Amino acid sequence: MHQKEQLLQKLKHQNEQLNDYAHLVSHDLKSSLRNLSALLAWVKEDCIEKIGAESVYNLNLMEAKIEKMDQFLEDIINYSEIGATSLKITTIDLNKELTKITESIHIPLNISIIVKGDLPVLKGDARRLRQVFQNLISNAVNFNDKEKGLVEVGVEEAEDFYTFSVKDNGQGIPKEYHEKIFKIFTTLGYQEKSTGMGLSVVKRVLDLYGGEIWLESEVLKGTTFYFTIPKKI
Amino acid sequence: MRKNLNILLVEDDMIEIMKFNRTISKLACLHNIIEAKNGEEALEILYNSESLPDLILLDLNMPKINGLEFLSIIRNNDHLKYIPTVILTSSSDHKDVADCHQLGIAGYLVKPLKFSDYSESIKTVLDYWCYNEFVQA
Repeated sequence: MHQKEQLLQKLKHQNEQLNDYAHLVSHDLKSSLRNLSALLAWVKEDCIEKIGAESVYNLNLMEAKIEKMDQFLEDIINYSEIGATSLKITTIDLNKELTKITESIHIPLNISIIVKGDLPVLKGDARRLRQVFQNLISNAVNFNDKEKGLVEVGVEEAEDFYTFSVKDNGQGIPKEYHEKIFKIFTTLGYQEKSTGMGLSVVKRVLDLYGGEIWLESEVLKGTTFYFTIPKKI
Repeated sequence: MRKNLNILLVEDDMIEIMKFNRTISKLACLHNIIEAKNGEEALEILYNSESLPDLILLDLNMPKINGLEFLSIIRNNDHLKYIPTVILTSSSDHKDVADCHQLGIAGYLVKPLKFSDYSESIKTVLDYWCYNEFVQA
């Protein structure tokens, strides 16, 4: 028993170190990227007349790569922060939170987001919960391939927990990927900009909450993600 | 009235300093910039100069005395504590934000990735401070 505790302690310590490390490295890399991005912008500004269209094209590709890498680092920082800090529990009105979230996501005109019914007021860590909804909703928006895209957020209440759903009419996810998509760095590659971290963040937050997540999907027709949040944390 | 500012820029990264100077050079106001490579150098400048800067722009991640240490030193110094200090960093870490606000800052700017966005936010910050009245030390 004593040995087991020691081992747990050691693992916990190593985990913290790993998180700190991810954090530190990501920040340093982010700073370097800021440098690169500025230098690149200046080269473009100063030389655009002198270099050919092909070089301008390549510089633009470099710029896009830098942007993606920055997003990647941001996601790593986010991911490593979950679990490194304890949950800050407050009372959250999910209706208000959801309005904030939908305002913060870039939603193309052909896609609408509908919240079905009233969402509950519950106890939880607002930032983390926001991340869950935000990542699921922005996935549903970003990967939507329909002329009229529709994203529906809903909830059902049970005695001890809520089951939330985020439903889209997008391209659907084949059965063989239903588990794999929650693994870190996994992306189905439908979108150039995705880093493959959104759903792993969602999963990690829900693990922390003691919630579960699963999905139902029909290829070409759409996907519904379900997740549970216990009422008592 | 709008006036030119005396700004102490505390930043260790050469390219960041270039970014700042390139931004400033395109502004209408002729601000006076004093550069310090870390907190230690910045403190020396503050202790030894006759007049204090109107504004400090402070990076957090620096060698020797880092941004947070520097901030805590000047906030506990009666002579220096009124100088408004705006943080310029690539870290949006919540602990950093909270620690800085606790010590007392006049702003917290997370450096955007794109130079054009960076320039825009620096311009906005300086534009605001141009119109402020300061405690003259």
